[in-house]
Amino acid sequence: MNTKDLYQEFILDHGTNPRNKFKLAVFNRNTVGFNRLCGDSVHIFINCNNQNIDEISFLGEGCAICIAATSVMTEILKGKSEQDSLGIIRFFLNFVKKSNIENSSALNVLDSNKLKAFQSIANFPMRIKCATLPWLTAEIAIQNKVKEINIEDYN
Amino acid sequence: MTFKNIKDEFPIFKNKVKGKNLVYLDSANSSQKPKSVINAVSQFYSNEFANVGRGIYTLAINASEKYENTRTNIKKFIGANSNYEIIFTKNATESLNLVASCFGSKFIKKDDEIIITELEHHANYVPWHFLRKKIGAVIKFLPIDLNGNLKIEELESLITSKTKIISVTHMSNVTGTISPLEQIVSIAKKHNIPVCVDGTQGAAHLDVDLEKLDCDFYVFSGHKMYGPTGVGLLALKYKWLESFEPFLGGGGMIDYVSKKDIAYAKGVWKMEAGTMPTAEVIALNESVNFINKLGKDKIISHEANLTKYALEKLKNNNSVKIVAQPNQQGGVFSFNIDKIHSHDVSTILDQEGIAVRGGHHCCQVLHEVLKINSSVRVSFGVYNTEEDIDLLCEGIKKCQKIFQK
Repeated sequence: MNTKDLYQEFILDHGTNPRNKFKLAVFNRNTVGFNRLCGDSVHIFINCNNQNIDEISFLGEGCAICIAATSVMTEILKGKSEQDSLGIIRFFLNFVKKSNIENSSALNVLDSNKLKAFQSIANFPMRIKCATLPWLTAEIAIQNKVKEINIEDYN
Repeated sequence: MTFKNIKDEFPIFKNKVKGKNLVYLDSANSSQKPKSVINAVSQFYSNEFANVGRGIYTLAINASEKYENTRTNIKKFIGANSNYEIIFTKNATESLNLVASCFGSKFIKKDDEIIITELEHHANYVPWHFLRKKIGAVIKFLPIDLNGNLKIEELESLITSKTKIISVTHMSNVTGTISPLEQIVSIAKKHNIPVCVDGTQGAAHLDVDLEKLDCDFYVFSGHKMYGPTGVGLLALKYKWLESFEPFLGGGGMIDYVSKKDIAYAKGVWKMEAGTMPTAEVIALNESVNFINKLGKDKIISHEANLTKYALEKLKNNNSVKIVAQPNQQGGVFSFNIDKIHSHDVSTILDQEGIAVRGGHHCCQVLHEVLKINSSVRVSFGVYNTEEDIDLLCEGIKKCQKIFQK
């Protein structure tokens, strides 16, 4: 376990140059997730039609892990069905805690490889919530449940 | 005792962190403990333990005497004259809650005003917020300037006939700003307003002389002054102790109990309900002795020199932005590295054995005022050295190297 496993080039790239970091002009789902321990927050915007995520974007403040996780997530979930997305989210949430990859059928090889970059977070227990925050927030947004979540209340 | 070999007094520095020597730069969060304090806990439990203030057998009498010795020693330590009493609590947070709750329920009505500052730790805001919610009190914030100095010249204009109390930190746990307490107390006195000082960061690191300062309440905690966790302190003027209703009810705080009525104990006992953190209070005496042996004035200059050295050194790194540099600064400062989040910095430094805190440090209002999301905080204790700062600077360069890729 070392810092370089955590801060891989791929994560640093997404953490410092995030993709899809803007507010969608048209969206029908949005949820803000925050982590009261560190002050990180992500606001997820989704435009869903016919149970499909047509567009997804975010605004937020956070550490490189949090921003990278959000950026990669938006790339992966864009164009997926709601059901597949919820499956991928659950897969990721288990994966970052245990770091063993059991393939999710909804994930293609490209997506799987992207997620592998987050593998070593399991060795940094204090940082797991940095990575799970956007995924939990997206899960709530897709389910159109609530507009604001505190990560402490979710797993 | 001198600063040269002071790390030898602290067993924790014998251990390695991630295979490296521990560079502990988080004393504003909690300080490490010297042998004398650790031994005092062990000695009390091994050979002297009994509950205090209750039994009349030898062990109990001796334990009670030791417990009261700490109170006497603490009084001397903060220059409290006979106008003051010391109450033991669980922590500084509980002490502040006690003041807000007891003072608030007796003296604060709807629309009455409480003045705090933008520097405050949540512990000196949330308890007053309870009064805002419960009673309808109004909280006003004394602002800071961009360097983290309190705009003391605006205090007078915040005061109205409805102002009931001013509660202010002795030293900011983020910027290290030392509040101009003498000025604040003197302005408050003109308007007959009591002043509560959150001395959590002050007690172990700054000069504290209550007789001279003449504030109404001074709050601090044991674990930030090289003492045990689980014990907080509240120095308050005796008149307030007499007028306050008890904060907690139970054993030890009563004089007489019948089915019809209850008479409370007098003095400090009224506020110390139930079994207190006895071993902790007794061991706290050793932390006071430890500080006294080193000498407060020497500690102040040791930490001032470290702060000066660190800030000078960090100036050479253009990517490091110090959050605020107040005119009067203790051994605390916070910074951000350009384009690197405080938690990433904290994780990378941890791999080097360097303990710093990243985040908002329980001061969200301050971070909002300074327009930053979070920061990395460095805070010094007696055991820190210039070498610690050199290692910090190298660690910062490692953070930059990782993120430059």
